[in-house]
Order: sequence, then C-alpha cells, then structure tokens
Amino acid sequence: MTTQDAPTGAVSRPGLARYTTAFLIVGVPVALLCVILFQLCDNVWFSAGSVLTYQAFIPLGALALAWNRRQELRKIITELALLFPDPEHPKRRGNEWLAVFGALVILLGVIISLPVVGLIGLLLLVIGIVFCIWGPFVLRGLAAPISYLVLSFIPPPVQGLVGPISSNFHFRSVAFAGYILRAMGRKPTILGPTLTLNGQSPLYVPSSFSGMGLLLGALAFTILVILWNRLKIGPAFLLLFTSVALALAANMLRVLMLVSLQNPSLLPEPLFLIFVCLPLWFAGGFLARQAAAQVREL
Amino acid sequence: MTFRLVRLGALLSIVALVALYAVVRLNTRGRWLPSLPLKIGQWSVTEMPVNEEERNMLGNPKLNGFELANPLQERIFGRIVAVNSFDVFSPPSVFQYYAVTAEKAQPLEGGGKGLLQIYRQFGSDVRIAMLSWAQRPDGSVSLIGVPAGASHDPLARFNLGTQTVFQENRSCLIRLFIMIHPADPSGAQARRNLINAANDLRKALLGGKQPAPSAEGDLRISEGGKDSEYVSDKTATTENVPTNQLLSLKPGSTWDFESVVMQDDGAVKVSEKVIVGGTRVVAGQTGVDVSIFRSGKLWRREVYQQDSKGLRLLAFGDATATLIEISPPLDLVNYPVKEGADVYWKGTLSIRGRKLPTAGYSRVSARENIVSTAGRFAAYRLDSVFTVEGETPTHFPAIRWLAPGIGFVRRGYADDGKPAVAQLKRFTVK
Repeated sequence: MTTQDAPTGAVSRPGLARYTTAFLIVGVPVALLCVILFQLCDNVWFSAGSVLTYQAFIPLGALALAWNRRQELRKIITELALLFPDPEHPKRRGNEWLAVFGALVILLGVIISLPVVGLIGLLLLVIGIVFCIWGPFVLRGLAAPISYLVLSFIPPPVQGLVGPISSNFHFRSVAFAGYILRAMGRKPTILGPTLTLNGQSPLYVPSSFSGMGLLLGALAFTILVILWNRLKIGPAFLLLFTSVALALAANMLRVLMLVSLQNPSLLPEPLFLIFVCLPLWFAGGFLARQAAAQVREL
Repeated sequence: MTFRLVRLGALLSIVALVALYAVVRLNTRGRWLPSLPLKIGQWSVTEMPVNEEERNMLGNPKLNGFELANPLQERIFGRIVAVNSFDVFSPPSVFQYYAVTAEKAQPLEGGGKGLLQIYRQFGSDVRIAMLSWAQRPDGSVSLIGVPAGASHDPLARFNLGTQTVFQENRSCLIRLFIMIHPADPSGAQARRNLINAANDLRKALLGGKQPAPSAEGDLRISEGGKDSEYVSDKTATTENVPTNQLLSLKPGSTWDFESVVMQDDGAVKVSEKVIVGGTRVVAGQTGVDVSIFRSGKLWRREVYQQDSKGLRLLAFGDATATLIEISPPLDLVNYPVKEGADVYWKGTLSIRGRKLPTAGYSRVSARENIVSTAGRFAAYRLDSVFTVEGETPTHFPAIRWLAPGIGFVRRGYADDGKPAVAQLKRFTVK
C-alpha cells in the first residue's frame, strides 16, 4: 500500500491554525504597543515644522529591507530546520526576556513622555521577538533592517543639537537666497529669518524652511537605498554626499519659490529660472539614471 | 505552539495593558486649568489663541494663551497649560531660536518660588525674560519639571509621570514672558513687570484665598549664566535716593531744550524754553506755574506741586485756553524716589466746567545716564500716562527724565499725536 505525503512547503490546516493563534497571541499586544508608541511620537513626527517627520516611514523601510532579504532568511530557516530538527533547539529559538524588556522600555517611554525611549523600546521589542521566535541566526540575517532601524530611528537630541543647527540652517538658507537675489540685481534686506524685497512688507521665512527635515529625510532614504542595493563604502559615501547636496539645493529652491510667490516679477527672470531649474535638472537626471539602472537589473 | 510563545504573548499583553492604562490616565488626569480673570491687578487680560505648532510641541494639552497689558501698554505674554506630561514643559514656540543664558529661583509672594530665565536669540542681543512655575488648585507652587534642565532629568520625568498616572496630581504650568527692551538696562524693569504680574496672577487665580504652603523641593536650578546680570538682585534692588526734590520749582529757573517732532514729512527741530513762574492756585491747591515757550511764543503751561511727599501735576493747558484742572492732584512720583516704584491715580479733569473721569499711572522705570550738550546727568526716567476714560479712552503718555537738583533733562511726549523728544541744551537752576 502506498501513501501520498502532503506537498512540501504547504501548511496543513492545524499548522495554519497554530500560526494564526501564535500571531494573535503575540501580534495583538505588539500592535497595541505600536499604537501607543505612535501616539507618543505623534507630536514629534507630525507637528508643523517637525524635522523628524521622516521617522514615521522608517518601519516601512525596515519591512521593505526584510522583504528584500526574504530568500536568504528562508534559506537560513530551512538550513536550521535540517541541522537542528528539534524546534526548541537554542539555535532555532531564543528566550522571550529581551522582547519583554523592550515592551517595558516602551512603557517607561510613555510614563516619562520621551519618544526616543519608546523608540529604543520598539527596537528591543523587535529584536527580542525575532530572537524568541526564530533564534540568533535569523536575527543575524536581519542585520540590515535592524541596523536601518537603529540608524534612522534614534532621533538626535532635538533641543541640544538639532535646535541650534536647524536655526543656523534656517538663517543661512535665507542669507543664501539673499545672495542669489543680489546676483539677480535685486537689493534684498535680510534680518535673521526675514527677507524684505523692493520695499515690500517683510517676508518671514518659517522655520520649517530650515531644510533640516529635508536633509534628515534624504539621509534616511539614502541609507535605505544603500542597504537595499548592498553598496560598498565608496559608492555609499558618494550617494550620501549627493543626497545632502540635493537636499540643500531642494531647500534653497523652496525658499526661492516662497520669495517668488510674494514677488511674481521674479519668475520670468533668466537667472531665477536657472537657479530654480538647475537643481531640478540635476536631481531629475540623477533619479532617472538610478531608475534606469534598476530596470536594467530586473 | 510552544509554551514559550504563550508566555511571551501573556507578558507582552500585561505590559501593553499597563501602557494603555498609563496613556488613558495621562490624557484624562492632566485636564485641570483655572479660569482667567479679565483684570489682574494693574494688568488687563486679553486671551490670545496659541498656534497649532506650539500646541503640537506641548503635546496638545488643555491650555490658555493670553496677553497682559499695564497702563503704559507694556505687554507680557502668558500661557497656562494643564500638566499631563513632560511635553508641556517645552518652551513656547517663540523660543525656538533662543538659548537660556541665565536663570534663578525667584521667590513669589505667598511663598514658593518660580523660575526666572533669560532667553537670548542665537547670534543677536534680543532677550526675553520668562518666569514660570507650576501651580496647584490650593495655590501652592512647585518647580517639578519647570527648570529647563529637568526635561533631561529622567528621574524628574519619571516622578511626574508616575504621580500623574498613579496619584492625584493636578497642576498647571504658568508661564509669563516679556521682551527686554534695549533701553532697559539689565532688564530690570522687565523683571519687575514679570514679578508684579506673577504675584497679581497668582492672587487672582486663588480668588483672595491664602495659598497653601509650597514645598521647596530639590530645585536643581543652575543659578547665574552668561546673562547673570539680567537675573541679579542687585539691578532689581530698589534704591533710596537721598533727595526729595527732583524738580527745582524756584521762580526764574529755566531749561532750554531742542525738540525733535516726527511729522509726516520727516523730523522737525524746534527750540523750547521752560520757565518757572510764580505760584498759582488751582482748585484750592497751590502750585507753581511752569510755562513752555516754542520759538519764543508761549506754547503750553503746566502747574506743579512739590513737597516732601512727592511731585504732582495740578493743571495743564495750551497758550490760549483756560487750564485743564486735575482733581485731586495727579501724583507723578512719591518721595523718596525708588527705582521701580509706581503710583496709581484716579480723579477727574475739569475742562470748561465739564468733569471727565480720568486714570493716571506713573512709574520710576530706571536710572539712566543722559548725555546732552548741557552735560552728562544721572536721571530718573519717569514713565507716565493718564487716560481720559469713556467709550473710546484717550491716552496721554509722557516720559520725563529728571535729574535730582536739576530737573528736566529730557522729555518725551506726544505733540498733537506726533512723537516728540526734547533734549536739554542749557539750564539755570535758582
């Protein structure tokens, strides 16, 4: 008498039920902790003029990186299953204490109202859950997404560091816009973040035009691209420098566009068009070349 | 499904539920906010909406923004914020580009201390003074979380968080801040205004009740800083002046001024001469006639009264009309002169038999060194305003710089609604 085994890779109904139950048991409290953390970070990420808005999208980037490495992860899991058939073997499972510690750190972040502590807690929670369910080898396989979370999620100390730098960027952006306008034969008066042109009422350039948000966002996106493409250190640094230059140029463009809204007569001036179009042309060209390279690889 | 996974899920669920409880408590406990009266001592109160950026920075708490104005129209901005988390201790959005350059614990009337800080704009000399304290419904004050450095103190944050989540901790953060005028040496007047307003506000919020004793606590305030003279008691100390005669009112005393009047088409220079005449009786009060001549013609007249108690104005008028009588005499300054001392007055102006209710306010704002062609003088700046009350109140502001034993060394006034400044050129004091 012959019997037919279930096809390899298919999940049996009891197995599916088991996975679903496990997902609910761990997933529901994790989702609740994520919602609480999101509420804690809401003001930091989505307040007007926030320079850390990009952080709200970091988890998506980390998930994308994990998805990008799914073949390797599958391979690691399969190899481990072959090498260590016992599913409770320490190479295939870790303990749960790191995940619980991460959750406690999130709770501490809520009580002391410090989003950065909550985000550190989330990092520990993610690392702890991966370690508990899949063990140390899969955790190592997820080094890239976890590094991305660590690099992009820990906000710099806003009051101590970003505040003065942001103010410096803000004033310098306005001053640089003044240089460009002087090169165009205008006579702007710059006083801190205020720019006055042609005797019109002073134009206050808001602090959100400091460019810090754009710069940090561009850096986070560039790190994602570097990790996604597994670039070596040389090209990685080149890409980082390019993104910094593009972010600064794009911010200058924003300031100039703001000035042109108050002074529509600037728009048809050739020098203004050059200053506005050059960064766009370079940025567009760079992105188009990158996209073409990706398509060719596919 | 392993036991380990179930245990992980159970432990995570417990922590998540405690976190949810903490969030709910933080959002519901810290909702206490006292209502703001329309008038606080000498300060009139106007509600000022707080912009969304600032609301977000503070974590969207329940809060009130307001502006206080004194009779001289000096303005103090304020915030009363319900304390529900440490976010509310973030500085108001106007301080985004400012750094704390000095701070000290400032005693408040009724016990307890507030935190006095000087904020200086990056790369400029623009300064703002801010006085903050946390007040409970019983009027006691605390500085938990108020010091700027406390936001980096995890223990203080933990204490505040656990008190709000697990105990009955209702309090509101009160902040008053004022721009320091460049002509205000070491911000002494700005600081006096802040402290007066803080004391008046604290009393007003209690509605006449005595505040409960405030715990001193561990303040952890770094006294001093780069702008330490702006918080120093030395500059704020009231100074007793060994004179009781600011203005020489002996007949024959004269002061020659050069006035600059800002007309619509530019500044116009005019020469003025102030001459002390004889005595005059106004509404039963004896004063001294002071005439002001412009380009040789009588332009204005003022009648002053001075004795050991102070200097008062009895009447004023122009060259043609009969004098406008002030009843009772308008107090300008009380003797002995004290820097920061102010005088309130309520009375009537009599103009051709009509009596108009009027309020007056006068303050010795600063001791300043005045340099003019007549010399260098240590003078008291006397800021005063009197307001003819009615449906549309009319304000008559004036600034007089008076040097002890000499009298007027500079005057600032409104000439037919146009600002004018008179500088002393020569003087003869009898």
